[in-house]
Amino acid sequence: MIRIENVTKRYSETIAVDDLSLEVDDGKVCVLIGPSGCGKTTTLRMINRLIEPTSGHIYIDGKETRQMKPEKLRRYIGYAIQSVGLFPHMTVAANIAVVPKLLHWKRQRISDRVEELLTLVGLDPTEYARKYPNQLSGGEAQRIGVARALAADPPVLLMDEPFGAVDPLTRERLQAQFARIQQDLKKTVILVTHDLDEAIRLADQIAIMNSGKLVQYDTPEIILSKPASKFVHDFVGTDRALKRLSRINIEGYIKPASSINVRTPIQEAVSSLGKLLYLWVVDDHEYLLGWLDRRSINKSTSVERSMVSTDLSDMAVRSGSTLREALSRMLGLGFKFVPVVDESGRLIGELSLKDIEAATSEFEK
Amino acid sequence: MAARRDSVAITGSVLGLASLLFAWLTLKPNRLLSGTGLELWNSAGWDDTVIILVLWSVCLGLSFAGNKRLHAFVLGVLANVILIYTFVLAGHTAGNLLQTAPQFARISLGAGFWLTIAAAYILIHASRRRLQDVRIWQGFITWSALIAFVVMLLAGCFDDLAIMQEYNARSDRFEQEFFQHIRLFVQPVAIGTIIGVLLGIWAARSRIAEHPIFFTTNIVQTIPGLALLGLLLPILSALADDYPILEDWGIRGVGPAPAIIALTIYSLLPIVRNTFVALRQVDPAVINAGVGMGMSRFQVFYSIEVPLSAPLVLEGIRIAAIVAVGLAILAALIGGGGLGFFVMEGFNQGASDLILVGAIPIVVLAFVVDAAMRLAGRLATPKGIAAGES
Amino acid sequence: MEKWIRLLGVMVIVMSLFIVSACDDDDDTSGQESKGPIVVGSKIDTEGALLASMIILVLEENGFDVTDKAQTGTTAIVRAALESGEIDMYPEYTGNGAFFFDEADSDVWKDAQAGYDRVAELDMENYNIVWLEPAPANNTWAVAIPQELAEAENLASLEDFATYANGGGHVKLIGSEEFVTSPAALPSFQEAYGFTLSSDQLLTISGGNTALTEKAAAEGTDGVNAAMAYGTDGQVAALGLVILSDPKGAQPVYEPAPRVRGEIIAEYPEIAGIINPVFESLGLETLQALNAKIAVEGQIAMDVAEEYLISAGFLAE
Repeated sequence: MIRIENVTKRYSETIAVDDLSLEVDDGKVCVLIGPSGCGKTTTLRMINRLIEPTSGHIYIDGKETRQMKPEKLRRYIGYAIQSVGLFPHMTVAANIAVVPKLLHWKRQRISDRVEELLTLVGLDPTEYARKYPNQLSGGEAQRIGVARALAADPPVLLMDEPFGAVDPLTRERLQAQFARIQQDLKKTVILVTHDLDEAIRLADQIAIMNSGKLVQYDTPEIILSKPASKFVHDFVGTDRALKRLSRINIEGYIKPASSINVRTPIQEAVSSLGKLLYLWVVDDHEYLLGWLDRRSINKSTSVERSMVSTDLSDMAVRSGSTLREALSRMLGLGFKFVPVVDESGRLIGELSLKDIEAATSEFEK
Repeated sequence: MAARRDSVAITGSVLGLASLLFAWLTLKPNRLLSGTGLELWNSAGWDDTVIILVLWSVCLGLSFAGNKRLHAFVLGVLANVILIYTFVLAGHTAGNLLQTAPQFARISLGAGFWLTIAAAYILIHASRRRLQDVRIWQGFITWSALIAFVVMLLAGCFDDLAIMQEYNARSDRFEQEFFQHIRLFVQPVAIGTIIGVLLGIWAARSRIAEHPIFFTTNIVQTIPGLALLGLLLPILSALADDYPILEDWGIRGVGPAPAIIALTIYSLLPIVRNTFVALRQVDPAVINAGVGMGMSRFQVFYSIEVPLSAPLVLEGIRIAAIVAVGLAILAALIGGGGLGFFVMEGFNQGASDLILVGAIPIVVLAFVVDAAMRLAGRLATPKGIAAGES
Repeated sequence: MEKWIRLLGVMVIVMSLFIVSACDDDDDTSGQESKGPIVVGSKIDTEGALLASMIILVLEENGFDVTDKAQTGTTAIVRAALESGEIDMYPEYTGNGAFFFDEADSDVWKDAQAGYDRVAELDMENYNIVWLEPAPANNTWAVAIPQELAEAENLASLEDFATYANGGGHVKLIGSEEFVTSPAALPSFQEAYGFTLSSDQLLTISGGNTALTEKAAAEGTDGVNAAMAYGTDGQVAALGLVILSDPKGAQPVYEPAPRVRGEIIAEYPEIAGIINPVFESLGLETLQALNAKIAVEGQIAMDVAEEYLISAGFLAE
């Protein structure tokens, strides 16, 4: 557990961090966010003593950070930065092994750990362990940066814009991966970012800073629904509602979907359709193939020929997605319903626009 | 396959043909006079001249012909053949000419000979380029003539040429001065490396130190070698007078000491500058990450900065070494010995071949030192950096 | 592991250079060493090397431990080395006393004995430096002309040369800066024999390298047909030149003699007895012939010195 108590950092005339106090519980992700120069990075750096506070105390698990030698302290805190800073002259494996080596782990333990971590961040150890940083793509490098930060299994993880230097698509994937890892490992994480979407996606608690002061420290839901000041209100932006949708998993909103097998004779299909607006078409293993409606159905041919299967990949929403994604697809294609599929493509249900509207209005209460 | 011209090979072949027009050997009545130049046909005879002519012509033809690897290899082999033939012919012809010449006559190598060597190596260079993927062939055409040359040299095939006669008359002294020359450049570069690297680190770390350090080394670099020696002599003499212990250490006004001190000073700039740049160009993010992960300042220096800056620092040392090999020639002027001794003696006596006895080994030494330091640089380049080009 | 191999490779390369550089040459010492060590130096010229070699050999023969520092450096360096005790002796020329002690105008230098006495006296007074016996060979400045010219115009002495020059004969003389301007050199000839060379007729080079000047005259480079020369130059005949005689004795006398630190003589007075006979045996023709062996035949000074000393009986076989 990390406790920051009345910490101030002053540089001759400027006050970078002004009497900041906040607490992060074990296993929680706290995101520091704010406009440029608000002191978020300075705060982060004071935790692992890359910067020394002018006044105040910082405690990790009850022990004051000032009591340990800085080098020693840092070996127990994972540190990942935006530019990653992989050592170019060392292999990926050697990079990850840096802190364990500093802690004098045995060689076998280190190599096992390297393998474990590479798998954790989704990279094949046999292929990547011996590669050099300049043979890696941006996304791969950032993942290895995170693996390196986690190498010695530190209780605390500090991250400074760790996903900043890549393209949006890669960033999204990295964030998803991080969320999954965090679910498994439950580290105490302090993450600095300027990207509110990222904060909303990853944080258990968000600390909004402005000009060195802590402005609001709450869960994302509360920050989105009850901004504490005009500043937060403006900072969060006018699309708060949409942002909140990205916090909600579709899990609770999936409704059963009506479907028929593709080999069903066409007459039967017509009668099954009945008064329904549409029917999903699946194969023997429940894989989604398309949909049928009154307009597309043609009595003279088969279900297979009549069904519509265009735009299917854009329509289908994976389980584990957020309501925001589902809404985005609906809006993009002009449908009020989207099918929900699992990782392999099997139909498990559907979502409707009405349900999303209902979810949104719930927040307002 | 369309025939492709190799312009470098063509240049070499044309130069080789042209070299036949120049005096190949020079017959001097004694080692002092300039003598008369003899073309190939006037010294070795028409038979050999025609053979060489034909060889060069074939080379020229091949240069126009194909771009297959085989063509390049044959070209390289021909060049080596011409070289070895020329060497053998030179030694042999010299012997013949001396039979009928006055008692103290000397045979020197003329412009034609040197041009032949140059032209042959241009051809070898052109062939090497096209043989990058067959290292064995490439090695063969690079080293054959050189190895043959060394064998012939040791066997005494060249003993009738003036340059070897000068050498043989003073071979003991040559050995002595050769090792002295090595001392004259190894010691300054070694000391210069220690001081230079330390200064470079200091300049890279401290903004205040950067300017004075470079200011001083730049200024000193512009002082010409002889002038610096001239400045050092009285200073060192005076110091040695006042502090006799310096004399015991060998630091005096004459002898190798002033030369070594001067050469150390000249070694500083390349080493300081390269160390400085090498340290500064280490990605700050990498250092940041290292410190943030819990490396101590020393560990950051040792595991990150040193390996990443090593190649560039070694490059600086290489440059300093090459400069020192050449400048060490000046040591002879102040009694410091070295190969410059023969250059001076040859100059004073007006015997040009004696000058070559000093000068040619210096050139060879420079090449060897360059190759050795490049190898060291490659060895010191961490795999991660070199692998980047994949 | 790989890293260590590379590091080893670098160290091997570096170490090998160091090892080679540490290879010590066994210069100085000969078999038995009882007395000394005595450091013998010389200027960077043929005759200096020859004389120094003789001194070294004959001292070693007589039980001294001698350090060979022949061809120490230029005149200034050698002088400084002697005065500071860097070297213990070197061969110098009696006539140079004029410049050391700034008595260039005095006529004492034109007489061999008087000049020798004078410089020995002055050196003793000022620096505690002793002059041993000189060789009877006048290595003074001279003018050398190609044999063809001498025969064609019947020139044997500087008098003839003066007549030739004044009569409009083509003259281009090459000499050092010092030769052309020093009152003891060319001006002295011109005054004594009554001729003057204009700047068109002169080619001045820096440094007194007679090998260069004589070669230029021999080969007619740049129209040169007369060269600055030294009396004992060995290469004159081989280059096809003749030296014009100086019947009026316009030049100071430069006889070579060892210039020795007083302390050394005081400690080993027998040195004089060992070296003097050698120098006294070196007449003009002898020195010319020995110099010729070095300059023309390309033998090294030490070998020529050894051969001569053996033949003259100063050295055992």
